[in-house]
Amino acid sequence: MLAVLGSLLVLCALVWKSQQRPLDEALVTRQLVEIGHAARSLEAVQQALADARMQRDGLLLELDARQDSWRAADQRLQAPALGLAADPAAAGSLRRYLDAAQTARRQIEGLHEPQQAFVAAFDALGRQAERAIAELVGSGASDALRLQVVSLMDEMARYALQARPDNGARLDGLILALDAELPELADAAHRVRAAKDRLQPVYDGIVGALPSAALADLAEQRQAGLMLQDLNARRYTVALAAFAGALLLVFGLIGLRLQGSLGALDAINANLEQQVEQRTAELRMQQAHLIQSEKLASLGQMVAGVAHEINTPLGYAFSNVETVKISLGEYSAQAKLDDDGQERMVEADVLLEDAMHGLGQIDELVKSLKNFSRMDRSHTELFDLNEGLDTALKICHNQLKDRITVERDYAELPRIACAPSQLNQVFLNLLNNGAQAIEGEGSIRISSRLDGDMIEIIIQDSGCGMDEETAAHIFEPFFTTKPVGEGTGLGLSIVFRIIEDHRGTVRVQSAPGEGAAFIIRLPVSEPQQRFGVADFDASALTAEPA
Amino acid sequence: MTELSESRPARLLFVDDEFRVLVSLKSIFRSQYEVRTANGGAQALELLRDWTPDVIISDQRMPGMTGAELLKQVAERLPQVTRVLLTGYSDLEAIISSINEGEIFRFVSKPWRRDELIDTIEAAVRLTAENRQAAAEAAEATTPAAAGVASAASQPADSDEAGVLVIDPDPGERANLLQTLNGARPTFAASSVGEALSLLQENRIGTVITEAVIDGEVVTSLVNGLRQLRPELVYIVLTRQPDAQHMIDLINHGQVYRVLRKPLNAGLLRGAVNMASRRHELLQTRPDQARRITLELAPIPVERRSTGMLARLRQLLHV
Repeated sequence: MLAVLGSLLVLCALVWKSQQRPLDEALVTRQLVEIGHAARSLEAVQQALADARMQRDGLLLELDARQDSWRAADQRLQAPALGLAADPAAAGSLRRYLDAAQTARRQIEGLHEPQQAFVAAFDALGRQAERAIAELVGSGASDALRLQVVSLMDEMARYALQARPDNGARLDGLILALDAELPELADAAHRVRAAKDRLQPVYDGIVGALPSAALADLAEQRQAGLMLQDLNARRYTVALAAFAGALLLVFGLIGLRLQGSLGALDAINANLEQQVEQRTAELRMQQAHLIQSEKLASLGQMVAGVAHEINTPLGYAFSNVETVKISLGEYSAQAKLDDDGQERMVEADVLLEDAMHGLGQIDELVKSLKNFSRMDRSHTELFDLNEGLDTALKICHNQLKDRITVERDYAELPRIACAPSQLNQVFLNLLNNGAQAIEGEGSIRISSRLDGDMIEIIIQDSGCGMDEETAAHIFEPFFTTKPVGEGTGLGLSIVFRIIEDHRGTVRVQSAPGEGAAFIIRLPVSEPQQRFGVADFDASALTAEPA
Repeated sequence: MTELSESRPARLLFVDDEFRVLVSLKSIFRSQYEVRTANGGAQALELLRDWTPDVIISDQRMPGMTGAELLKQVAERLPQVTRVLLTGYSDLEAIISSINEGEIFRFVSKPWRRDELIDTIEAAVRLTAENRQAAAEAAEATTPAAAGVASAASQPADSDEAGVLVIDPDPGERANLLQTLNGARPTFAASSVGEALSLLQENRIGTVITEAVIDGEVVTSLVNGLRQLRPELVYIVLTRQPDAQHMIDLINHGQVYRVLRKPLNAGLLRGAVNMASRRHELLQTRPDQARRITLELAPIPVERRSTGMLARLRQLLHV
């Protein structure tokens, strides 16, 4: 439990770490873009400085413009939205850069004055040179001097343009040479050289002060932060993957062991189920037996009561009808009746005859019920099973007639010692079952034969039949294919039980749509044992009701 | 139709708690008989104080006193009155008690058939007439004038007492019975119908003690058949599991004398055998009465007749 909790915590931590981004990547990208802008502005400034050195005038305007955009870039770097100033990691680099930039800008401000001085000196020199050349041409002086002036102007131009002029000595030589002939020109040249010499360090200072390195530092610092963050995340992801893998492995092992345990449990369960099933079947059998006894006992009691109650009114009703019929006959013979009277007499006679017929049928029914439910019959009797089959047929005649043709094929059978009323019930149950399996018209074939020391009775119907599954369960108590309330599911289990009590067997042969054949086999030899249910207290049936 | 010598109509007493039954029965018999009715045992006994019927027909199930009880009292008080029990359902205890104590003539089941009931009543009336005549003759015999004849008639019976035939397929039961009877009279034992019949042919036998089921069949047919040939024989039937229908048949078609339950009570058996022997002696002296009893037996319905046993019976006794 603790291990599971711990591993879950580790897992959570790893997931959190691998997903964690202390730096906002988009922001840093934006910072880098701004730093790039600033760098490019700085480069432009540097370029403008270089250009400015090359040109004599108007050149600082360009530099100023570049400086403006650089300043704007720096402004943006400082913007709170960019978050550079607020980031403690970057703030130092930023400050260093901004300070450097400030210094550089101040130095650029200081460039204007020496630059203008230099430009003015150079312009003055140009004018002196032009005048000197004009005078020289006018006076017809030697070309050598003029050439010296032109050389001076060339050398001066090179000197002015180069950041590290290499012609200083030559220039000085030329100036010295001209000093005698043209002292004004030499002075002007001196002033230009001096101005250039004053301007050059200022340029150099500015170029050295430009904060390119600080800016590069800042960019690098930002980039490094991002890379580190990526690296960390990747490390945690790898750790997470490794940990998850390990966990999966552990789970797999646990799963395997669990499956093994489940298998063992299943085996135990199956065994248990089998035992329960077996016990349940036994219990059901006992219960069915009990219910059968109870049922028969209560049926017997009921029939006893009903038979008595019915027989008394039936007795006088039947007798009275008969008496009236006879009296009427005598009367009509004596009396002189007209045609109408005669007719009425005949009609009354017919009606009374019918009444007697009906009452006779009621009598038959009560007798059948009585005979059938009687459990007070002795068991020592020898019984011809063919007689039992005929008795059962008589009882369920109403269910069969008109609808089902009955075919009988009896062999001569030895009488067997049994409980006739019970076997009658077996036959009746099977016949009823067969009749119920037949929808509409059909046939039931009853055959009996002697097979060695066994009697075999087959009751075959042309009904709907049953599948193997049903056939396997059909003798189980409470198994029924009839809708709820229409069958107790006990009929065939009672059949099974009674046949078993008689040391016989009963089985069913059937397929869906092909009818069913119930095959009963009973031993001819006298059973030694008492017959199960039949030996229940017979006095229960005959006791005088209170 | 049936009249006694005094040419008065025979008297019938019907007892039933359902008055409609009484009305119905009366309507059948009132034209030929003097019919009286009672709604229960008490009323019947009251009526019997100063009016003696020829036949009493009582319902079994009545409040207060059952039919069997009533008939028992009638048998004690007026033994010559023939007793018939009307039953709606076979009540085993009532049946056995009405056989043994009520010495009943016939069981009639409800619903009764008119013709059969008329036949039964006529038979009962004839039996009563026969009984009366026999009793009158016996009374005459006890007068000094006839004493010699009577003693002469009874003398041979004492010297040559009729024997007892025991029929039981179970050897153990048989031995037990023989031991109980203890040779008070000549005793014979048979395990089957065949054996019994040959013993009957060869020996003088007055009482037959038989198991209810012999050779897998109820002895009704045997008793009925033997009645035709030896009307004076008296039967005691033994059974371990009494069957109501069998008992009814044994009375209606065999007029057996007693039914005893196994395991047997020795005293009861000996008493029954003694009484049966006396009954046999009586019937022997009055062959008319014996023949009358046989004559009035109800015929066994075809579906219940055991043709096999009857044929064997005739064969064995006549050849």
